[in-house]
Order: sequence, then structure tokens, then C-alpha cells
Amino acid sequence: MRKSTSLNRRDILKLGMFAPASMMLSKASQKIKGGTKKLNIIVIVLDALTASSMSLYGHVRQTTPNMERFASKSNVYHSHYSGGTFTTAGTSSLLTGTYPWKHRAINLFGYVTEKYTNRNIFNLLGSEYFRTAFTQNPYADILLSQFGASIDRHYEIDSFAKINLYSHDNNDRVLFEKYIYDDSFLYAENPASLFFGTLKKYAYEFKKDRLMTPANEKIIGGVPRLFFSVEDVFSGMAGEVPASPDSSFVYYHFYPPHQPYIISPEVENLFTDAWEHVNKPIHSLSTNATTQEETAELLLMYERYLARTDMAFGSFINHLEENGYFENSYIILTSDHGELFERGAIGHLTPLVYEGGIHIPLIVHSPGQTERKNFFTPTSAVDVMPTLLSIANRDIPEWCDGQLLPGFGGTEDATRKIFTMDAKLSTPSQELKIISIAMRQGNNKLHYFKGFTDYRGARKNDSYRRGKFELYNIANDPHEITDLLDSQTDLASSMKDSLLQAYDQSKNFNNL
Amino acid sequence: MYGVIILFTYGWTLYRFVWKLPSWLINLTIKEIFIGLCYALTTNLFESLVVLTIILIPALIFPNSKWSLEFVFRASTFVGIVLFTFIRILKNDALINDLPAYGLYAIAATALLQFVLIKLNWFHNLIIGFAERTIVFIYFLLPPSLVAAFFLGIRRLWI
Repeated sequence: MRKSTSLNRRDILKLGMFAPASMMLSKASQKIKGGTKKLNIIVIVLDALTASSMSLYGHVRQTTPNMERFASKSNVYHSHYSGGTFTTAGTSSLLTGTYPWKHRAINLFGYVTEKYTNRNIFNLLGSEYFRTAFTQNPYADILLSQFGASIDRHYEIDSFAKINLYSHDNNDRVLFEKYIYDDSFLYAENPASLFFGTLKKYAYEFKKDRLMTPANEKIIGGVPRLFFSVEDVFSGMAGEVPASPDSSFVYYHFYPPHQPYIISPEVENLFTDAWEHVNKPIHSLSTNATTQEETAELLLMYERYLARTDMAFGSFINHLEENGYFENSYIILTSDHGELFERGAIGHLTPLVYEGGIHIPLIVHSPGQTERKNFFTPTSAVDVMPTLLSIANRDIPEWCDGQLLPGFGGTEDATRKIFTMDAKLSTPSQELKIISIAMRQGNNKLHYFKGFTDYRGARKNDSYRRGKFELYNIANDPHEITDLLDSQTDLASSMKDSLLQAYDQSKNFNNL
Repeated sequence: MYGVIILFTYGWTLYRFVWKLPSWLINLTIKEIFIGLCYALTTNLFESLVVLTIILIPALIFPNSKWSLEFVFRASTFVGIVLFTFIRILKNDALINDLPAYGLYAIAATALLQFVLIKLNWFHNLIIGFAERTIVFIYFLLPPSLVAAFFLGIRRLWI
């Protein structure tokens, strides 16, 4: 007898039992393939970018029209502060969510303590993100090398550059101190290696001179050890932003507008205006190496270079927008620290903590955002990491000093205290005895200097060694001219107590 | 003659090391400073050997030349002038446009020594005596350099 091949009612019932299971399997397999797509996070850091020179933040010179265009579809944080006054400390605070007295990357060519090599955004996001890192700053590259075990693709410092005098090897993640000795000692600008170092130094000089023509670009403020075209690097790295369907975390730390200022023909005639920088009294802790006129000239060069950087940033953002990243990515623009042009201090290798040196931009675009939102209460670079972790549905570790940014679950808290500190001359493995601290709370800002003896003014005024305070109201006195320490005694006393309490806690650094 | 090379290459690096040491004591541990010293000694070892090789090549290619026959005097004075010129360039932070002037001074000094002063017996003996005395630097700088290079090699393999 031939076996029947047609379906009977019993067969249909049996098959029906498997239908729900097969539907569940189908959904599960989609999820395993990454059907639930996470969003990208793209962090762009522009080195030494001070908010006070940005037209986006009210500067009269139109230095940043492209950043304003980006901000028109983003959250703008108007009182955002770096964790430190220079790259090592500032970048470490950004990437670890902790203040420098915790991560201890406080010296030039410094690095975070061993405890913090895993306490960084790359590691905490995890391998579900494809993590990319690039920097042109050798100090920041030391940190990225420290975090290298959690970075899937670490670009070379001279990516899209023309010539490079640095000695980095990104594959050498463990022996990163080699970079320190190569770049700060053996092959430094004044090399300790007599034969190899001298040959390398002048081979670079020769190549650089051949690449530049007098009619093309002018370099103001030093000799670059990494010679590049601003436009080439921005456009090159724009093309490298991953286009995979998987989620990516991208950290790009560009060198501009850090000095030396490379002035192109497009910007060399900008800002020939009558605007004058506010002259401020020379500070006791400044080197006072330039006159007021020289300071104004350097500031002009900086802002021209910033305008050039802004144009390159504009092209970068255009690329992101045209390729759909504005719809599927969080895009963050910020800086590691500011740049001072006042009180006898130029740049950021200074212990001063005035606004120019530590007030930095923070602009955050959310996927699909079409309108600008403004936030005015003080925020800190240490807030960026926990906010990104929250976006990525990760837990925020208890050791993190930062909070969620307003607009991403955080509140606008005018009573919150945020800190910026500089301790370049202190030993990271000990109590920070030579230190500058700025504490911002609401509209008020307290400065604290302690342990300084070697500066010209500090030799005449012992209070810089014992501990000296300055108090300003940023809302009424944004240029920090009028010290309120003696007139607002109750406020000063309360803020001093808070600052000193935080400083005292930092002394117990082994438990931080 | 190798002692003269070591005197200049190691001497310059150790001078810079001592200059940097106070700031390193602030922000580096003793272990890190020691590793830096190892890198410095290893670099000095390789660069001194490179300079030695450059000096030896003409002697090997032309064994009967004046260079080879008066090797200790000629090589010691030549390498001394060249490396001293390097030191002057670095100390003065010379611009690239100034390098030809330094080169001319070095060539003139070399010519004076190699063609004129070599004929003065007392000067000839002075240079030879000086070169012989620099041998002591080989004895106390080369072994630590070899140890440093070995240490760094092992460290790279095991970490």
C-alpha cells in the first residue's frame, strides 16, 4: 500500500505547534546578527581651544561660523570646564571621568596610574563598540597607548601628515615610556643623542623647509614637530569614520588650533578690526615674557588659525552629514583645555586657572536633532564619560567624578562644585604640594594657589607658597578683574572650605 | 679612537641626562628613570658603533692609504672635530641655513690638523696620548651599555 503524502488535520496541528517557536528563533537570529543597531558616538577634540575666542560663545570676531552651524542642531554647554590646564591632565579627565588628583596624569609626558589604565571610556564601552582613536598630540598619544588594550584601531600620530619628528610606535603599548625618552630626551628638539638625534633633527628641518614655500603658509609660535596640512588631516580622518553597520566609538583629537599657528593665505588677512583684548594686570605667577602688543599679536594669529581650523571642521561635519551620521550618531565637539593670552601668560603651560585657560566648548548633537538647546549651569569634562556610558546603556562606575550632562538625564544644578587643577610641578605618587585649583559653583569662581616659590612674583609674596585665594563672579565680571575675596567674606569662607575639603581628600590618593 | 667616539657620544648624553634629572625626580619613579637611562645607554652604544663603522670603512677599503697608516691620529682628530661641531650646533640651536658655516669651520679645522699639525711631533704625540687615555671610557661605559641593551631586549620579550 502506498503511503499517503498529503497533509491531514493531525499533521497540520503538529506543524502549528512549531510556528511560535520558529518565529521566536527568527527574531533571535536577527538580534544575534546585530539587527538591533546601537548608535555611533563620535568625539572630536580640538586641542587648546578656548571658548573665549569662539564667535559661537559670543566673541566679536567671527572665528567659528561652521561650529555655530553644527551647534544649531546640538546642545550647547556655555559654562563647560576642562579638568586640567594642559593636554595630559585635561585629556585624562575627559577619557576617565575623573579629576587629575585621582588619575594623576599631572606632568608633561605624564600618564595615568596603573589603576586607571582600565578605567577609561574605551574599556567601559566594551567590545560591542568598534573603538577607534586618533590624536596628533604626543602627550595624548601616550594616554591612548596606555588604554590601547581597549582600542580596536589606533591611528598613527602622523596619519595624513607630511613629515613627523616624533618617535611613536602605537604597537608598543606596553613600553610606552620609550616614547617619553625618545620624544622628550633622546630625540627632543635639543636631542640627548648626539649623532642620531642631530641628524634626525636637521633631516626633519630640511624636509620641512622644502615642503613649505614663502608664499604659501606662515608658521607663528614655534617649529612644528609634526608638519601637516590642516585640511588634509580633517578630510582624511573624515573618510576614516567607520561606515560599518555595527556601532562605533570614534575619538579624534586634532592638534589645531594648538600652536604653532599655521596661517594659510585664506585667513592671513582676517580680523583686521579695531577690537582690542581687555588688558589685565600681570599676575605674580606668570613669566611675563611678552608685551601687551606682542600678546595681542599672538592672539590675532591664534584666532586666524582657529578660523582656518573652523573651515576644516566645517568640511568634516559636511562629510558626516552627507553620509547620514547626523541621523545615527552622537557627535561631540570639545577641547582638552583652553589657551591664555593675558596677565603675562601665553598658552597653557602656566599655573593660572583663569577662564581663557580652562573654559572650553562642549557641543553635543544627538541623532536626528534639528534644534539648538542651550545650557548655562557649569559642567565639567569629567561629565562627558558618564554621559556617553549612559547613552550606551552602560553602568556608571562609582569612582567616576562626573555626572550626567543636562539634556541627557542630568539636572542644571547651580550649587554643584566643579574643579580644574594644575599640578605640573608636583610628584604624582605623593601629595600634590604645588598646585593651582579653580572651583566653579554657580556664578562664582574661586582660585587657589599653593606651593609656588620659583616664580618672580611668588618670591616677593610668600602667600603663593602658603596658599592664596582669589574670588570672582563670572556672570558680572567675566574677565575676572575684581577680586571679591575681601568684600564677599561669607561666600569666600564657604567656598574656601569646600575647595580645601576636596584638596584634602586628594591627599589620600591611594584610596581614590 | 673608539674611546674618543665614546667620550663625545656618551658624554653629551650624560650631560643632558644630569640636566634633566631634577625634573625627572619630580614626576618619575626611580624605576622609570633607570629604564630611561637604559634607553640612553643603548642608543649611545648603537650610535657609537655606527660612527666607528663609518670611520673604519675607508681604512678597510684603502688599507695602504694615509688614512690607514696614520689611523689613530687621523680618525681621532676627524671624529673629534665632527662630533664637537655637532655639539656646537646643538648648543647654539643652529638654524638650517647656518649649517654650511659650521661645516666650513669643521673642514678647515680638519685640514689644519690632518695636513699641517700632523707634522708636529709633539702635537702628534699629544693626540695619540689623549686617544689612548680615552680607552678607559670604553672599559667603564661599554659593559653597562651591553647590560642595558640586554635588559631592554629581555623586557621587550617578557612583557
